[in-house]
Amino acid sequence: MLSNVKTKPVDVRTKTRADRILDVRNLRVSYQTGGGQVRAVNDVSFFLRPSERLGLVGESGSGKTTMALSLMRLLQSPAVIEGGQVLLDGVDLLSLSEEEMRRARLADIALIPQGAMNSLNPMLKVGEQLRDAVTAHMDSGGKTSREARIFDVLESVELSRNVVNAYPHELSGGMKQRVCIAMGILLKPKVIIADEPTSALDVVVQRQVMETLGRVQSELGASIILVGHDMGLMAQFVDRVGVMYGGKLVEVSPVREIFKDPLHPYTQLLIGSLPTLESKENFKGISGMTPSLLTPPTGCMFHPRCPQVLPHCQVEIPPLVEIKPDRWVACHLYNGS
Amino acid sequence: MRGLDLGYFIRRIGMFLLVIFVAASFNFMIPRLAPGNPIGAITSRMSNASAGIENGQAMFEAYRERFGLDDPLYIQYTKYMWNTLRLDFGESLSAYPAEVWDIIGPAIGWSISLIGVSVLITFVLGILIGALLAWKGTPGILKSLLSLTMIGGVLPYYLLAMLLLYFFAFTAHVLPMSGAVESGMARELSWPFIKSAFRHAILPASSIILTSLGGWALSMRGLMVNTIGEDYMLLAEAKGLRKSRILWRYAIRNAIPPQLMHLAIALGHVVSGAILVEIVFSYPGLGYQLYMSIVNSDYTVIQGITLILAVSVGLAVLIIDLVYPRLDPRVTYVAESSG
Repeated sequence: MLSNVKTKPVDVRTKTRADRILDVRNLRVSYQTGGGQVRAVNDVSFFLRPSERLGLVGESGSGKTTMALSLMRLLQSPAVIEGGQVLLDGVDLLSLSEEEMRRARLADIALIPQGAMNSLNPMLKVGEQLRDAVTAHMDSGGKTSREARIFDVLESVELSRNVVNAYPHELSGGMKQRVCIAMGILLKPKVIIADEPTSALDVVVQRQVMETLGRVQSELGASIILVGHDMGLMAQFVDRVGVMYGGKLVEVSPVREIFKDPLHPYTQLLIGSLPTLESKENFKGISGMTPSLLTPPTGCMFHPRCPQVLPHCQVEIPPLVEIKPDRWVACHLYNGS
Repeated sequence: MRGLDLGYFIRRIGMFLLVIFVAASFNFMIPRLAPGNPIGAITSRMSNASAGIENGQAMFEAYRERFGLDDPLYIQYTKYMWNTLRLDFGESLSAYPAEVWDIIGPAIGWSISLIGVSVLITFVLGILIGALLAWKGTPGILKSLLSLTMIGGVLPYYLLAMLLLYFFAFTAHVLPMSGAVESGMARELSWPFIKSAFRHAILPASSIILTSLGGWALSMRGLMVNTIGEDYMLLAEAKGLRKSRILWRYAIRNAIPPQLMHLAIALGHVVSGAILVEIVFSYPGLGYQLYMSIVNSDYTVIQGITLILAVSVGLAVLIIDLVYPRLDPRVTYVAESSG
């Protein structure tokens, strides 16, 4: 249970569960700024099942990208991973050496960035960038198998082989994003982190790219974390949704249930703010501002904006607990129920 | 070549030729617009030196005729352009009957080997230092040490030249004071000659390198910081590339092209860039010759050197322009408007 996670550290393999390909426990990341310490990821725990699609939503500044990047230890200074565990197939990525982590990247856990803009090196041909990636994980030889693999992945993302000879600026946004997907699946990773992979694309291309991403993910059997803020996209793509607010995970639920019956007041307001085809009402927003992480509110992060706030919400931080099967929420409303 | 079509190539060469033509024309006109008269200056100096010479007026006329200064301006101009086209700069005024080429030729060799090599060394070192200063993986101690190279940048290079000259040549006698080789040494590609040339080049080269290194490093650092902030650097790391690979192939490689443009201009300025260093060390390069010919009002030599300067800057920029699409694939000259 995640409520008793304060007891640690334990041997990384002991508490591993076979149904969790990725198990994140008490992850804390902060930015050391001139004005003080900003805790962007605050004691976040969640897990990912094999072949599962998990969506991670939240407003700008909610810590979702910071969290996603910290799973691969890709954060740059001044970001510091302060603690926690990221168990990938039982191995704590946070305790690996730099070289071990380097080898794990792409091979075990891959990033698909928002690739339509600048994620590809403008000076290198697409083929060279793919080759670079494979070569970094090869001990020796295997040139023909490398080329074959590159053509394989290009084919599976529906790109012609010719793109290996193209420079990134010669490709369209959708094509660049496909190259990034191809890059991500090159070494058949167990977990793919897709950080807003389609946010710079128009909806038609977005749909095509997401279909491709979904297909290659199923073929590969990899699990995927889709980071984004497009609830519509999430509804179509993922199995479960995690909602982040102010650096904390406030709810993790299966996607249908989160739309039908959101638990956390923030999730309720978030779902309620989505426009529907039936009603022509004005948009409902959420009053108030996102909390400053430099001077975060005491207790529950959401209490200053919460319509159902309870007295001890201002004092006590609610833990993320499973209140019904597969439904996790961090809110005092559900305490003791 | 990639990113280059024939039309652009021809236009670019034409532009180069036009620049040279205009430069040569200015080169012709400016001395003639200037007050004073070179022949008069020479003859009057001669007469001063020998306390009045016989047939001074006749000599003046003979010189004028010899250098074609009697002709109408347009004929002078045509002759001048024709000669320039054949790279014939005529005879030196002050060292008559020496050909201008006899004076400039060896000087070009010395300038290229001293300043050209110094600039190249500075460029390479500057890129490395700048890159390491921007790279987050560089150890802090190394960064502090590398920052020391900025100190040289605050000194004017001729001042550093004089300091080096004073300490290493005048006081300590470890290195020669002046010249390019031992005086009287035969010009041949022999080992002692090269050794001597090298020993003579150390101080002037050091003063150029030490004073300009900081600037190169600083601008490279700026370019690197921009490159490192790009999204593709994150993906490069996410791909599991080795740090060294990311540094060379993704960061430095991408930051270099703008630096190469600066290099072309710096190399083009090999002549003018280091006049004072050449003077301090009496180094017989182009800058020193230019200085000497200005002192002697030797217009033909001045014209020769300034034209070479114009050609070398133009040529260096032309070359970089033509190879730039190779360096940065985003730059192409294909199917662009002629503007």
